[in-house]
Amino acid sequence: MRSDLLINYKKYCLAILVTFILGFVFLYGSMPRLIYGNEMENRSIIFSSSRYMYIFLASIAALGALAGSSFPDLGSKVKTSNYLLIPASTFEKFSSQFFIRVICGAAIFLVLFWIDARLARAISVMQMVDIKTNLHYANAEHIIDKFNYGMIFLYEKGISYSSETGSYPIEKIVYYKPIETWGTSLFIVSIGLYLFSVRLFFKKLGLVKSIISFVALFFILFLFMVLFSHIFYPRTVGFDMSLPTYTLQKGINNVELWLFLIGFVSPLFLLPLGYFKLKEKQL
Amino acid sequence: MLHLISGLIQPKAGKINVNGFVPFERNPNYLADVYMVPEEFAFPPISISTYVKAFSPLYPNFDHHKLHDIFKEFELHPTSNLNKLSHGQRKKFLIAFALSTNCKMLVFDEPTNGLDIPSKSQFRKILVSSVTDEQLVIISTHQVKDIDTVIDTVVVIENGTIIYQENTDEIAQKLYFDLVPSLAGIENVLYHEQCTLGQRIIVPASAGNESSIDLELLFNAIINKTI
Repeated sequence: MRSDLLINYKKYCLAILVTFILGFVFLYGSMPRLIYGNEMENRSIIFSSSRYMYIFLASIAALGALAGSSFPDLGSKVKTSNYLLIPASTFEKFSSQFFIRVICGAAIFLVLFWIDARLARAISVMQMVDIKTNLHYANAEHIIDKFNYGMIFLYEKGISYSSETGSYPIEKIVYYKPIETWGTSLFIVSIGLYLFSVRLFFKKLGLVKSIISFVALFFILFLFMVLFSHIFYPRTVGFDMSLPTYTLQKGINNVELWLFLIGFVSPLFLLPLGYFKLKEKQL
Repeated sequence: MLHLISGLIQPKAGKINVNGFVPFERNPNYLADVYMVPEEFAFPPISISTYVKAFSPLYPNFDHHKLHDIFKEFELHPTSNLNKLSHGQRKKFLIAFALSTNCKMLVFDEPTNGLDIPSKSQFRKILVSSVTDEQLVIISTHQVKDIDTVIDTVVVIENGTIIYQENTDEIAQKLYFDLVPSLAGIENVLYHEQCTLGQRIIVPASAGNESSIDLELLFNAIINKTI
């Protein structure tokens, strides 16, 4: 790992810088800075947790790219030879890449996104102008919610009061729903681990081929679902899927449990799969 | 064969054991004692000193003084960027690094390819002075003349089978290599090849009469099964 950091530190620093700048541009570009005065009444304009969530999910592709471009030395025969002959065990080689690209990558990404979100909000709030008065909008801080990771990983529920004059938010409940939270998080982690491990099966263009294989796998899964829908629910038409949702326990439905299981179980075989593929790697 | 020894590929049949290790298991202790200089190589875009800093700790017997001396001989500067060096200079660096690892087994695949004439001579000199009796150096080359003065055992492999294996001292005692204007009057010629100056020949050596080994001629004689 020390060797990897010594050799690639410039590349890693550049990646951090580019991620930081792109994240900022993405967030700042999405935040409102021109106000027409009625935003407080029209809640849909307000930059809230759902907007952050969309941007976060889109940005997480950068993390997927980092994980999918693991083991860069396996891209060519000459570099593969050098890499395999480095006097370190397969476990050390595998775990160093895992630690740098998945663990550190995710941690740095979360920190960068948080800084970007806070910075973009601070600047946007400062620059927010009311079109009617052409002055700084006094309630700017209420237009853009302050980012925190609870917005992504905890579920929110808004309660509003409707009257003849409009709908007013009166209460917001933030609650922790383990299955949804962990199911979604682990599902994202699984995609990252898939890109990280499956990359070892390809010599060239590992990231691109991993993504294509992932899409292909998803398409096969979709076809299976369609097939099962036709078998178990004969009224299914064409490529429609019949996926009835039912509650297994209080707060847990079958689809959430399915996501959770995929997210929880797949790392258990994806990581060993990648490790053994690296161990058996030949020139 | 070199790839099998270094653990880069797995044998399709049979087993390989080198110093108690199975190469393909790529045990770090084994890899720390085997260094391969491949014919083709690639370096990251870093300086020589960074490369040395990154990889030398992985070789427990790495000798920095030796590296420094070889750098001097090869006129390499630690601050140079590896990817900005010429192919020959990069090869020299790799040879210098390989010799400084003090690995028990050094594998050179076409080590003189890309080296100019003075560098080939430097390579021979450095190789002889850097390697100890505890080390084994395996050289695979098509340029046999480049290394004929540094080898002590000649092994010829054809289609995966060793067809000839002899110590250079024994070869010199058994065979006499000569250049003659013609074959007239020469008896017991084991092998001959025409050249611009006449004939290059191999004849049985007589007692006390030794010659330098013409590896190319010897190789052709072995391939033509006259020896």
